[in-house]
Amino acid sequence: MPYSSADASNGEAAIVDGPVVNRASIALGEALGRLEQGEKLSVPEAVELGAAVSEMMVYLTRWTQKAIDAEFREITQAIGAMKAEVGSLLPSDLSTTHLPIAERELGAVVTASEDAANAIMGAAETIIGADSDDPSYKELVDEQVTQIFEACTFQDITGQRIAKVMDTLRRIEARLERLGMPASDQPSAHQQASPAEADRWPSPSPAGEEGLLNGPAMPGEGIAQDEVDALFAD
Amino acid sequence: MAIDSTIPILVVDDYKTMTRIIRNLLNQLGFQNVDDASNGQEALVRLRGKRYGLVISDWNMEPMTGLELLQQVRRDEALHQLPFIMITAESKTENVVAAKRNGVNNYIVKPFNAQTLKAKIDAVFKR
Repeated sequence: MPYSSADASNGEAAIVDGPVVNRASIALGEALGRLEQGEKLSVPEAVELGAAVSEMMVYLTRWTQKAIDAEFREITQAIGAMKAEVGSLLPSDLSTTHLPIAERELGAVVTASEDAANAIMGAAETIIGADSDDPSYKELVDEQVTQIFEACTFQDITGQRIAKVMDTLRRIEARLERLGMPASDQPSAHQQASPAEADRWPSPSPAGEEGLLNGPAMPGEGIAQDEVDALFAD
Repeated sequence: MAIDSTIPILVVDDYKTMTRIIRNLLNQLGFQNVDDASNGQEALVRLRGKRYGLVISDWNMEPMTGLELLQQVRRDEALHQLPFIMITAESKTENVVAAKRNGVNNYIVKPFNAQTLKAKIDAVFKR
């Protein structure tokens, strides 16, 4: 029976059911039965048996070779796909865009947190150092409290920046999973997050707003308030 | 002419901390009648249930964004003239242009200070 790719996928059953194998098995079984009962095989019978066994050996060798070839082809394809995936990790938008952005976002978070902490401490120190008997004390406290409120706005901005970093981490996780290397056996941070936390992380923009929602710009980038005001002055 | 500090203001932001900050800043500026909503849908319900004099809204919210809220407000016969200020970290020219095209009265880029907030409220009511 000529080898077909179905043989490899059918595995052992295909070998056992093959007419060549069946013929040789039957001939061998009969010969062994006769030998066990003290009978002897004639030379033509022995030659015929040898030919059947030989045919079976050729068949099995071919089958095994084809099966190994198919296995190797599959492995080669898998390695090729993995190479392409690994390759795509390096010059992709992940390494050229997302990771540098994530790094800058985290840097901006550190700076904003520090600035806010300093502003809040500065306002508190001004209040502590002020003379409460001074007639302008109330005004000074109001002014400093306003500065504390203003400084607290950093929390919203840093939240949005961290959301961008989380987005990058999710992209990395997805790439690793495609490579068959799950980042963790545990559910991802996003899966574990409370609905309120998850809501803070980026998700697809509503229809018609794609490209508009980018989160906070880096310091010195984006449009400044006076430029916005100029657009409204038109 | 001084702005009526008793006007009811609706602050819309899905970030509770931010809502609280804006409310406190408004209080510091003399506005005491401040309500809040955590997204556009909730805001619309509030706007249809009470007469507000000003909406101050974030942009990036779900399920309804600030831009969608603005569009809904401008399409609503009873609300279409309601002053609307967008306060957002979205700071690209196209964001501002899109908001303006949809009828926003003013636009504040985060982070902002009380002085900017006051100036924009003044500007909205001066027009």
